[in-house]
Amino acid sequence: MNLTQSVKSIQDDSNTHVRDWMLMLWRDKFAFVGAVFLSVVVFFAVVGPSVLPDSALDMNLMARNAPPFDLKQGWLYILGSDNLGRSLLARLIVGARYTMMIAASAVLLGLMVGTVFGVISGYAGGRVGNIILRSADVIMSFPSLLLALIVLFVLSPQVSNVVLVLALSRMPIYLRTCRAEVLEIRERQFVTAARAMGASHTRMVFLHILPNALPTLMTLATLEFAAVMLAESSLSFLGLGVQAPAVTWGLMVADGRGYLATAWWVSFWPGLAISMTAISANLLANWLRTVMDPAQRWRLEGRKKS
Amino acid sequence: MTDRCFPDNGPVARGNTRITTQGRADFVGHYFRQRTIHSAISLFGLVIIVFFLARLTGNPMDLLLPVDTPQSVRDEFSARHGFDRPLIVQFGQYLSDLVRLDMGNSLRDGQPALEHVLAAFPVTLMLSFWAMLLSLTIAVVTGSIAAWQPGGIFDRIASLISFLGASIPDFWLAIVGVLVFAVMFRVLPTSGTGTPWHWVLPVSVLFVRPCGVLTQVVRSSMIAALAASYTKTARARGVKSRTVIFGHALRNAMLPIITVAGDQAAGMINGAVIAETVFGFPGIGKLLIDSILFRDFAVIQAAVMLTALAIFVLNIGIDLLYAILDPRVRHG
Repeated sequence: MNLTQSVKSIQDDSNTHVRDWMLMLWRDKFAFVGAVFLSVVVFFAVVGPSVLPDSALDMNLMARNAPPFDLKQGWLYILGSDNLGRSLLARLIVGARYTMMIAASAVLLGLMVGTVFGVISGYAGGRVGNIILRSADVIMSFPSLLLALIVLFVLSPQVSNVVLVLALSRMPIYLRTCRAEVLEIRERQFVTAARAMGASHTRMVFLHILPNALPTLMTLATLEFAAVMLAESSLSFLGLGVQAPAVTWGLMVADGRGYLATAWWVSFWPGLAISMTAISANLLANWLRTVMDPAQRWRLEGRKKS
Repeated sequence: MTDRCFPDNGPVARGNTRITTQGRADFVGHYFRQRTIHSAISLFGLVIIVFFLARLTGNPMDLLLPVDTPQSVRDEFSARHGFDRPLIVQFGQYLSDLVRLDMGNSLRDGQPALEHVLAAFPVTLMLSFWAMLLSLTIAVVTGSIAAWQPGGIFDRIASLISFLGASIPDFWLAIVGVLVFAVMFRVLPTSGTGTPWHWVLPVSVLFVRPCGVLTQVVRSSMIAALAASYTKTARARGVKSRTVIFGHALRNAMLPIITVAGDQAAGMINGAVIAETVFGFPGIGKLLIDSILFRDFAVIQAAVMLTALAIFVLNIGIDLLYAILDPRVRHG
């Protein structure tokens, strides 16, 4: 009975935990709207393409450059169509999957590689740590878009290479942050205590240091998501990112560039989608930064008026 | 897109120099020697990376000569341009040329690559200069006023707008700008450099993101400065609020602002690539994109070298400014 009780209390605990987070999200209205928008985009990215398998590539010559808000061609054409008569709504949804997937994988890859090198550089220190840091500085001393442009022209612009380049060019940011965190946490008392008790390096890193560095890194990753998405869109826009028949929002904007005078909607909608998603991700990251900061957190925890 | 650091920890990133006590000249000398050595290593690393990456893109002959060119012509062509020698020999040749400031000739028209780059560079520099000046001015004024009453109506509106400005992709902004001002109202030209009107759209596209980021930094930095006791004292003495904001607080809030402004200025080249491509502006960004598409090695290398050099000079300048403004560094 004791056991069931404690299990129940743990469950309650995690339930209230989730509720607390939801409440804190609700209190920041901008972040809440951002979270809702992002959820919708993710939902469409996951479910959409399987519901409309071919609509994104289907050419309907009757509906070439169909204007938006015109239901003559059916619901699929509510946002209009491009010069080949492809439904913009369907392309937006399929593009959401590519755009989200590329950004998410690039952030994850950069986060993982950056964390590994950051921990090595911070924990081991010395000559190795310095060399790692200097290499990161070389990458960072050069504008990321230029670096990506040059590398992408060497490697063929496939989806995997775009992810690789984006991860590589943003990796130093994680590395530096992680290193700074590790350097700071390494000197705390509980780590010293663990060391005194003979904990192995693996145990120290994975049990004591990494869990404490993680909140900062997660906040950074959310913030980076928008930046990486914008970088990918810029690359695709310049024609050096993902290539057709793959669809990303940046590519769609580029497609419509030639038709601005006659069919503004072709590049307007995907650009709007990029902007809204980036803004939502930034709002959410801003909120997360407040939540993770103990000095700021009270702003989002309901203060009872006495 | 080089938001290298959080605005919040900006000064930490720049101010992590070890301050010794041997006096100012010694410290500054040591400091700049260190910075120069590090930057030179970075620069050299870039030279190597760019050279070998560019050679991996494929043989430029395939692009320049027609498919049915006889082999003898191909051989003659590659011998003339040195493509038949081993990579390492080409690299050695490239390095020794580099020392003599000879960056090779463009494959497109045979003109020296450096000439192309030097012709394009001032355009981008001017573009970035105006964009940076505009965003700094607007950011400082807006951020300072917003910080005067945090949470007030002006602050909320300014925060929201600066947030949007920092998040909207520049290429979309460019497209919407063309749509509204060139297609709908026909008041601004879409491409070229002839008149001052040609500069309006590119500069506006370039200035939005740095302005958004900088406004946020100015705001948070000013809030801290306005809460400090010296500003409270000044206010208590009845000093005019304009003097308090721009005279007392802003001077002390300047350091993080300069750090972020430096990063943003270095990142201008990212935006310039987009703006120059969309508006057909003959700057370094457009030159670089064109050269990449044309596999014009010499021009790519020269453009990258000069950009890196410019960023290097910019960083040194920021450090100098930092040393001038911060007495802790100056008298360290």
